[in-house]
Amino acid sequence: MATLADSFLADLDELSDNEAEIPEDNDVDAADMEEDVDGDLADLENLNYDDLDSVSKLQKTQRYTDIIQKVEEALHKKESEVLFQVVDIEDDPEYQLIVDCNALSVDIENEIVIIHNFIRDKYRLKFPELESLVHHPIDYARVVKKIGNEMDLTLVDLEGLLPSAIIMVVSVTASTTTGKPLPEEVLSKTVEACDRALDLDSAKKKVLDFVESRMGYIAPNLSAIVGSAVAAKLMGTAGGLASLAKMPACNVQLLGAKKKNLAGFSTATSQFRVGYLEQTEIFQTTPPSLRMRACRLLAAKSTLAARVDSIRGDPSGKTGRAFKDEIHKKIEKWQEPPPAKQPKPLPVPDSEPKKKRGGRRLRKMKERYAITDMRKLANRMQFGVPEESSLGDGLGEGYGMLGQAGSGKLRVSVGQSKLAAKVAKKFKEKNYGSSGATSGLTSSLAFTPVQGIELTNPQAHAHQLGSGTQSTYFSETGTFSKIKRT
Amino acid sequence: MFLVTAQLCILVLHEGKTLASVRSTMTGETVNPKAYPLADAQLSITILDLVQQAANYKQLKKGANEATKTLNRGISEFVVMAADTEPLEILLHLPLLAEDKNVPYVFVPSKQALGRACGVTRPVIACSVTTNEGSQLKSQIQQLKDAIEKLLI
Repeated sequence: MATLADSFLADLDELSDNEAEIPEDNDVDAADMEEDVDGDLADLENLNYDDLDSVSKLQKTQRYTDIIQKVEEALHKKESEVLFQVVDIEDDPEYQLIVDCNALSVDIENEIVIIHNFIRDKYRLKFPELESLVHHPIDYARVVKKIGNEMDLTLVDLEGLLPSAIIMVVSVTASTTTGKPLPEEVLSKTVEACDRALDLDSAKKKVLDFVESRMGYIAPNLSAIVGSAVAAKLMGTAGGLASLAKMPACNVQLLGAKKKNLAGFSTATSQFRVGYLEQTEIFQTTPPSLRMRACRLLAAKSTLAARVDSIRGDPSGKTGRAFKDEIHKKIEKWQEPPPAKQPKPLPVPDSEPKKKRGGRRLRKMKERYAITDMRKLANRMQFGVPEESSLGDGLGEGYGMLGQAGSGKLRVSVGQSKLAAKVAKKFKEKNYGSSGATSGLTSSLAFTPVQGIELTNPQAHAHQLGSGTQSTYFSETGTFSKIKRT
Repeated sequence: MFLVTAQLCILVLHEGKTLASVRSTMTGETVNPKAYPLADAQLSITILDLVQQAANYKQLKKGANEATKTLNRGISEFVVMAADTEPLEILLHLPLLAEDKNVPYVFVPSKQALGRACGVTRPVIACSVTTNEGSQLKSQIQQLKDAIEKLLI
């Protein structure tokens, strides 16, 4: 309680610029402590009233009164009278009024923020949590005016002021709030500030309605693309139609963009926020995935339309409607699916003739890398005859017809080939084997490159010699054959 | 040297065709009177040649938006605009800005030719040659600025 009073007094000190009121601050402090002295309430009343007037000055100025009066007069003027007055757009007094209205709407917005701070400071004693539940200044002012000093919020009807969910939250919070009812003088000043804020809001709406109604003849092409409301906002932010025409398109895209404070939250999931161009009908009807491109396209075409309007190039708005049709056509083109894929035919076969025909070199290469006779016999099977295998009974590697020639040996006698003859000739020159003269230190074991390791079998030689000597033709004992005549 | 000459010949041929169409347009009196000052045939060739050299030297900004930015920043030597833009009002803010910044501006007859001179396959309706101290094009730019200002007399 004391802390709240101190912060309240600090806020009063910040708001007040009058140094002569310092003793009154002490009186206010004493009043808060005692709460029974009636003589100091008059000073408190003067202090709060002075603060409101010192804070909120816009409605007292002559400029505000003049512009609002002109707007009210112009709203009742007929459209045909306005059209007759068009000679030079920049020299028209109504155009100057529109430029003043754009500047005034910005001032009204700032004034509403100031009054909202004033109301919040006053009403914090009654309902501290309300400012975190209702963020919009005008909604806050309406709720404060509706609740007033009521402690039981079930008796207050907030329907129409806030969404139902927020109404429920406000009611539940009000039942557990730590606030106390305000004094009557403070409450009356708070309600007065609320009334002032609501008046400023209605005046701002009136000014914007006036500017929107005149958009059709001040910027006809721009209004055709983005609508009267957004055109008025763009002109207001840019500072006039001539200034808007001199902007590059990328700056027009950012007009009205709010620097959103995410308070530590990630920007990955935040909605893409652009300026006033996102309020146009074209942007809202675009699918979300194409809105970035639509926004850039809108900014570019809007800038071109503003340039046409700034020199009164096309008062009928035909150029703007052409730009709008072009925008619609492009957005529809973006949404078309890609063309269906055609079935691809097979590529043309390679019909290039062969380079090699098979000459002497190719035959030599084939003979060198051909399958050997042993492998050929191993790959063949004879019908009805079981094959031998390396592990017996069909296990291991099969030999096929390899050992079934009748000789019982796996080795195959190679046929005569020119390549083998050449190799044999080459090996003959190296003189393998033992020489004729044998000594006791050498054995009959001979290593030959053709046959590998082979033991000399004397019986085989004897057998061959025997068969050789017993031959009919070359035997030593044989004679010529006698053929008897018949 | 031969390539430059061939390029100039091609440019002259295209310009000849464009000038023929411009003459037919002029006889119909449909050329926009707001496109002022409009360069003649000889000056157009000189302007487009210098624009192409500026593109090669990276001293060129292509497009109406970028030309607007160079004028706002004060780094523009002169601004070239195309007279056959439709509608022409989309670049008539550039003469206003150029007069505020005291920068010469000139219209050439064809946006297609201006696009080719800028090295862009699309038509270009406005471009701006930027300032660069110590550039080899400085003397040519100064001569062309003088020639453009003579058109305004």
